[in-house]
Amino acid sequence: MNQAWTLTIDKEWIAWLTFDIPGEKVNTFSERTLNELDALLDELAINEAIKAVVIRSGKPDCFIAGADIEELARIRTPQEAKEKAEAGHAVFGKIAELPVPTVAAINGSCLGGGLEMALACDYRIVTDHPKTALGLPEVNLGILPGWGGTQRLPRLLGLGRALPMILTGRPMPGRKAHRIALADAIAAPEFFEDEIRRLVDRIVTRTGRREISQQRKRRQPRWLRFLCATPMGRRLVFHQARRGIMQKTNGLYPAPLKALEVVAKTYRRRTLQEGLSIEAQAFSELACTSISRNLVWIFQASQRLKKVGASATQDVPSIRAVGVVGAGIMGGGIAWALSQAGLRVRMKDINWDAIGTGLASAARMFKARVKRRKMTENELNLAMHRIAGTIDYTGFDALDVVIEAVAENLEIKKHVLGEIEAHVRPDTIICTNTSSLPLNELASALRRPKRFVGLHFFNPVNRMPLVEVIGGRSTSRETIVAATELVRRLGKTPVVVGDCPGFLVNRILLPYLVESAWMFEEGVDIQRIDRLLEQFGMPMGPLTLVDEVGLDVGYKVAKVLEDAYGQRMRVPCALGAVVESGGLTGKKSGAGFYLYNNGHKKPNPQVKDVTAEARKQDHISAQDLTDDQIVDRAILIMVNEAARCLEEGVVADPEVLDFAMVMGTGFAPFRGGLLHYADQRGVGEIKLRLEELAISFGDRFAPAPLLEKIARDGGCFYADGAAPNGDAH
Amino acid sequence: MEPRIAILDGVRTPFCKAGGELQGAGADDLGAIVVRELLARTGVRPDRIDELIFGNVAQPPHAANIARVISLKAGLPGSLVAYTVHHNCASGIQSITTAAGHIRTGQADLVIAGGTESMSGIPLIYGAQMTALFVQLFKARTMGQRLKALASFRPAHLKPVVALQLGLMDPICGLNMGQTAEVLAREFGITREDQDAFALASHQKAVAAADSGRFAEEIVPVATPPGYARIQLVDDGPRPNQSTEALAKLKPYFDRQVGTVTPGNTCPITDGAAAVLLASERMTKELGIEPLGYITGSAYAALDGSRMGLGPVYATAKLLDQTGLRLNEFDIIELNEAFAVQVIANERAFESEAFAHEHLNRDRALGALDPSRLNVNGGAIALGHPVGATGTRLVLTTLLELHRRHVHRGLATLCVGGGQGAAVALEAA
Repeated sequence: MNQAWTLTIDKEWIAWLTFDIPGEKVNTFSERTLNELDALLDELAINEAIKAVVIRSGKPDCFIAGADIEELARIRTPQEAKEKAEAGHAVFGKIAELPVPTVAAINGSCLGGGLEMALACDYRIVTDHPKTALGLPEVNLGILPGWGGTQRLPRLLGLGRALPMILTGRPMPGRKAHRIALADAIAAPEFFEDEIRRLVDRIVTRTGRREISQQRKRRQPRWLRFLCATPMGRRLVFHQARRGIMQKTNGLYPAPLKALEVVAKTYRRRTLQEGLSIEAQAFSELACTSISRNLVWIFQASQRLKKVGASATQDVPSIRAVGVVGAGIMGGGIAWALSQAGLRVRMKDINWDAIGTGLASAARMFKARVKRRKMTENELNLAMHRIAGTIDYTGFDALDVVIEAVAENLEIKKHVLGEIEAHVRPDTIICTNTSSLPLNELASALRRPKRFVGLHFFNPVNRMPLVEVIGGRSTSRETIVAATELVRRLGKTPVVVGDCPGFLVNRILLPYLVESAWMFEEGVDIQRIDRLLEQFGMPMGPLTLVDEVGLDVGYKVAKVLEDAYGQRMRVPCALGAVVESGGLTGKKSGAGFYLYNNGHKKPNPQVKDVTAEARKQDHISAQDLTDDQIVDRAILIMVNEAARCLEEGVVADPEVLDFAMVMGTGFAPFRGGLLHYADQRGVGEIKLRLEELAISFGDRFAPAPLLEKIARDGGCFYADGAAPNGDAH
Repeated sequence: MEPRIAILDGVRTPFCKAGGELQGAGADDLGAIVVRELLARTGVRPDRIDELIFGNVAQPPHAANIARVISLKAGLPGSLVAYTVHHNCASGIQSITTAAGHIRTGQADLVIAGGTESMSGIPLIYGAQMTALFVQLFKARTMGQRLKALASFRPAHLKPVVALQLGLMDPICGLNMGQTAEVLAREFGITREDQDAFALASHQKAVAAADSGRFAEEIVPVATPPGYARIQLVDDGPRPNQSTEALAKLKPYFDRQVGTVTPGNTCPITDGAAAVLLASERMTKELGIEPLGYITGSAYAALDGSRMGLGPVYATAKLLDQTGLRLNEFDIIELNEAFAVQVIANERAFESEAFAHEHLNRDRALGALDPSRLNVNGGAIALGHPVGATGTRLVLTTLLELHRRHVHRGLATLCVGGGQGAAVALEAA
């Protein structure tokens, strides 16, 4: 078998350890590659002739991407996890203990275990390659840096700079790593080898080594060093860090808290060896939790979904210019996304005022990027030049794709689609951005439905990473491929779903919102509903979400789904009363379920007034619900609808469904999506619970046939069982 | 017969007073918008274009060779050669005649030519003393040198030099453009009343043209940075309520004591851009586009800088000699209105045998400029004169009017600061 590690010793007695896993695009640490390195280190340790050791990668743009995630996912017991951590500690310890200076030569991504290995080296040199990124993203996978990261990084950089890296997992580019002295030297990739040799020449002399250690000190701001030098100062830093984590995660994600605890317990208090064993212990506690498994699954699913259909790229026609018809909020957002991806856009609406609105909303999204220093003013100018306006389809014959984004009204959309087809080339792909209208019905307005496809962008376009791609009866395979490819070019994840009212995400999400409205009608306090579901892990409570979406918009979609699915999606009278007679539209107008004033929100006392009358109309009575009932009603109604979607083939498999719900709605990522949640709780239990709810609150909770079947068989939605990444993978 | 050079289509931005609606857009931005929309209208694929030539006078510091910047902002391929021409007020016509020349000699088949100007964007600059101080400061190596340089600072050094004023000044004859207009008023004895009457007519004709949608045919709307929410659709110069009384109230600006030229009978400082697409006859057939018209001849002439306003007479005389055409064969004449007095002076010179004799070396006068054919949609007095763009606008406006009137031949001519004139002979397709 080909070796991943090679050792060469050159005539200047420098040992070059090169990592290059054959046949892989990236280097990762698996048990095998770690063992290989271990053996070579033993060899080096007894070679007294060598002067220095350089560790580098043979890949063009990857140093070491971290630990092998498949192996990580296979860990079954805390004991296994601990052994895995200790194995890494042992190997990296050998690097640290080599009698000669060691250098990590980092070009490309250097993440997780890769950075932890680099930290075990005495010196680091980076490149300014755009792919060079140094970071410890472990917390995003529900674990912590378990190969010495919590120990060696704070020792090198001090608390002030190490903590954010460990707790947020955000990687930094090579230039920044050099600025803060995480790297001791930086080079252009083109001159990398020369610069590595120059660094080696320095570190083999005593003065060179002294210079570098002084340089490291200089690069740490004095106030930060001072702050962390006293126990009081450190307590303050830890306290602030903890508060930051709680604010961001609501305390639902244990990994960053655990990582912080490890650093707080060990920094300046324990020896490296003691610290490492505390780290290994903490790692083992996190690695087998369902939270970590679910987060690892999301990461893997996103990697897998990135690749789906990508192999077919060669027959995708190149897309250069795209039309957007309808310059509203969605049209403006879509134009922004297209221009952001470097495509040229022509935006059509019926008058210039509307065009101005669309352009302004795109400009606002670009300005937000300028503010966050993601782009320059000049780049904003160029990006806005890529978006042109027209009121008469001028220039549409030059477009490769046209995305219709006019008001969500069947007749208007059909009319506009016909107009578009009359102005574009026969080979132009026509997309409709719709959230609820049936694609086949829309397709009937076209003479060439083969080249027609649905794209459901979520609002706001610049923040939502998911796009549903909907094929109609006549949509050709090539059109679907081209549409998914376009979505990918926009930096978003496409999921291909079947044509049904609400498609996938809204069809499942709307029952959650509607159920919350039922509970509101039954007299449950809206803040209580919102708080309980936030605690469950939803990014915001359902009634807050309705306000964000816009009560009018949400109500309209809810009604469309009620028409389509009947009784089980019936909308409570209270919602209609709030929207229609109350005239409330949500956050955009300052009043919905909540009142909005200068960024503050408080419950709208007025909305409660409608509930008594609405209950009468709906023939229900006020209810006293337990916390569990509230959460189960909101969540299990989604699980039930998800089961129907799966059964009807709206979506290919449970993984795509879960991924779409996490990305499209922010459904608690640490729960791994709806179906993982169901599997982990037990489908049998969920069936029983649904039956109970059906008796108390109505037939809409009656278990879906697929769910019943799985419960009867004692099975799971996922073929490989309740735990994601089971051994079947 | 020599192959004709076709002008396939053309567009312009609204012309807006400097410091107003378009001030957020640079000259490069305005140029890019007209080029982009010209391509959209004609449907010509960007990679078919052989060259892009743009005229621009006050070349902005942030966009050296503005034509190249325009070309890339407009979405033309990086492989396209683009360059800027500077022929002062004739820059927007120079780009067209240069393009036509390249097509005639077979160097190119399809060329975008245009002109752009952001007079809002012309910077104030530091004077010589302040500049020298900065140079000393940048050169200083020691703290002592730095302090010495700083110590030479006087508050008066901060008085800015207005680059716009410098640009409108002829450094040879020492007169600014307004002062050269005063020279013509005296030479031809043109009264303040004549000038104001001309200015009023220019506004009335321009308002009528705007109201009837004639300008909308040539204008592409501009979304104005930095907000992009406001879209400028129309020229903001023409005043529907302009009156003789209002004009009479204005004071002479360039000679406050005995002058006649006022801001009211002078073209305003303006932002705007225009572009046309030129093609060989062969390319026109290949693309299958019905052209707007053809350019059949062009001439430039030079004269004394203090009488630069008479440029059109000189240039047109040369054009008639070259083409063998007579003045009355032109059905439409666009003569740029830098100053009302300057157009009236041209009218007099065109029909004067003595002038022809004395200055043009001709026996007979060129002929009278028929008011029913001259500047029929108003001119720069109302619309403004974004110097680099005006030449292109005149050609475009002439061609469109030929079509509307179903007539054949047009003349576009203008005076050039520094003492030159340009004239172009056009034909409807």
